[in-house]
Amino acid sequence: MLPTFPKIIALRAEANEACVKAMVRELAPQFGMIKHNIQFEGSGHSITRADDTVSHTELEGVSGEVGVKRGSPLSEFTPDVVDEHLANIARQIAEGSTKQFYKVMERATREAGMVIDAKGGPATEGLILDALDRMEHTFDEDGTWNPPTIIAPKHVVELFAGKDMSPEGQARLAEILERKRNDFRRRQAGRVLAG
Amino acid sequence: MISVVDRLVESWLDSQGERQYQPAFIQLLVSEGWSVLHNTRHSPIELGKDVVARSPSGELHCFQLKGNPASRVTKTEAQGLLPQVIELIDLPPSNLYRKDGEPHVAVFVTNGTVDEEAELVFGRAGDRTAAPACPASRFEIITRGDLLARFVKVAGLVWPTSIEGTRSVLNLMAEDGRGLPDPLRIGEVLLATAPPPDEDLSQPARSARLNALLLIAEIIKAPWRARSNHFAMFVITLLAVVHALRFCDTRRRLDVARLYAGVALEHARDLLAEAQAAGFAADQVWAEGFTLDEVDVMHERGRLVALCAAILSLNRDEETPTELADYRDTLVAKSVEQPMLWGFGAVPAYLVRWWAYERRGGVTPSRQLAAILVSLLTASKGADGLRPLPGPYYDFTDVWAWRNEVPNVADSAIFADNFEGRVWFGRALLQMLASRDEKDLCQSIWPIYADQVHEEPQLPADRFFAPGLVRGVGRLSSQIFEAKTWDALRADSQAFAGADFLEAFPDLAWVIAAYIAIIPYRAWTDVVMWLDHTLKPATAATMDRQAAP
Repeated sequence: MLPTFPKIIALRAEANEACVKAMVRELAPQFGMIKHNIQFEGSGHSITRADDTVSHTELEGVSGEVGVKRGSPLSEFTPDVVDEHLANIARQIAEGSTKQFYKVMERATREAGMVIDAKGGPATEGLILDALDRMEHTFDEDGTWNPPTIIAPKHVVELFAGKDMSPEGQARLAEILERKRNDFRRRQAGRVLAG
Repeated sequence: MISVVDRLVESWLDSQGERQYQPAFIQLLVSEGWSVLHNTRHSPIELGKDVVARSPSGELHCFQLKGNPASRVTKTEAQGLLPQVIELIDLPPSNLYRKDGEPHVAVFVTNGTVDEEAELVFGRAGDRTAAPACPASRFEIITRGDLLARFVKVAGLVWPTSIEGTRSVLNLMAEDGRGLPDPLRIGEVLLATAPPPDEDLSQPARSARLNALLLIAEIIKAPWRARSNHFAMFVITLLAVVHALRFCDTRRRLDVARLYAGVALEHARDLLAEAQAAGFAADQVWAEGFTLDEVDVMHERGRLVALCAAILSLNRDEETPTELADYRDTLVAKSVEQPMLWGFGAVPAYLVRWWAYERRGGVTPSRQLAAILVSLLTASKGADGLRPLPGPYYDFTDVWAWRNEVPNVADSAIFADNFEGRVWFGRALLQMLASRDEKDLCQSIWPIYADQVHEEPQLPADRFFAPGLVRGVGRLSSQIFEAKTWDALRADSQAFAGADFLEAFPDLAWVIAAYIAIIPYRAWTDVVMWLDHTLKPATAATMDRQAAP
């Protein structure tokens, strides 16, 4: 083998990876909003619910690729050039991850029957309330609603949060939340080991 | 009882191919009192003989070595080896080694075991020695068991007995072999194995220590050998040879050291051959793994490969095939014309490449050298926005960590050290220019040269031979210059009495050159100047004599 410096290479690899991850977080901010569970074993994940329905998610790799020609002048292979390559990798990973993220979300919502098709129309108050109605919600012990994470344009997010809603809309939201709160409490109360 | 030494030697022997245990086998024979007459590389001219040696009782032996690590020689393999064994028996060694008509003992050596059926095959070949006309008097087989017992016996005699020494050896043997060996740790093991001789040490004891030292050096290479880490093995060999020179006060012992120094050249040649086959060039992007992760080490890798190229070149490398020789010279030229000096620790290795470059008729070598000296002085002054270079006690990893502000990787002293206005090796570089009569260059450099503090340790000569840092004796000398005459500078360049202790080894100048490249803080001005006078091309030397006051 040719002379090498494993310690330096390992440290640079770590730094490069951290740099790519930071750039990916910047390019695909939705990942920063979601809590991450790291899976150490297995090739996929499955969740079995109380009603015995099972959802599977397979692990899929996302990669970025850049080409550095072996034999190109070493004097031109500067830290700035390396940074450009890392940014390129980060861009590819952000694109790939985003694509995969929406694919998984779309499938999960479809399976849970939570898809509302606006048929190309704008996100109206009615549509949003329908969406909220289809979801399962959680509440704090004092009954405060934990609103879902929403990835959408700002005006849609504000609609979801109940701002700028018509009095009718607000009344319907209150009714939905009351019903969901009761559902939630019922579910909580039903967690008993009888016998 | 089986000791740690036995286990380590056993594990080492069981992982060696034939070429790999050959240097250790040579040391074993020497340790047992044999005279080694010939040690061949594996080329078509070997005539079935890897080693020719005379036993302590004066009998001529020809050995053929085979590598069967942790395996056995089967009948099929024995049949395949038969032509070589017959050659070993039927062809006498060169007349250089034997008296007229003197028979030899043909010996087949393997570090594996030999199947019974294979033994029968060899036995039938051995029957040829019964014929009166056969040049061999008898045929013998040495297998793993015999070999191991002999190695263990010799190693056991010399293995460091202190807990510190044993720990040092174990630490080395536990290395993964991918990185470079730490010269300080290698030095510790060599020192524990063969403490420097004092006046009372008998001649046989000196020889025993020398042989032990070289045998241990071969054994501790094991982790790097397993990875074919040629540069690491080159480093270990050189450290061992330089340590061995302290024992070389007789021609015979010096010959032993010389013979072993050849192993360093083999490692250098192996590295170059691998680099060439891998399409490596010092000035081009090349990575063994993920390219972006290796950006920091590419220049340094080139520097180290080019050092081996330079050492081969300085040794009038006759064994290197022409194609590889061209590659060698290109590596040296590129590394001199486009140097990358990360600190003063890289300067002695640059000088070694420069000497090779000058010898091969490089383009305006004096100007290249002057440019380097000016760069070093400018950087140390902190001029032109340059950062002063760290001193020669810090290696590449230290400097990388310091520049990238990565703690806990390097010698922590580098983060506290100040390098501003301190120059190492400047005196040697200026004197090298003066010895080439470069008056104009020297005069143009002098103002910035005289504006810096020139540092260098002043230590007892015997401390030169080991990389261990010296405490308790000697001092660090800081020299400040103002005005000086050209004649005085020329006279300085001709006087290097501080390197008198090297006068006994002029043909090993390349070893000393490689050593200061690896241990840069041993590149004392007088040592560099001794090397300069020994290694410079004849034309430059003639000029020196004509210009000498």
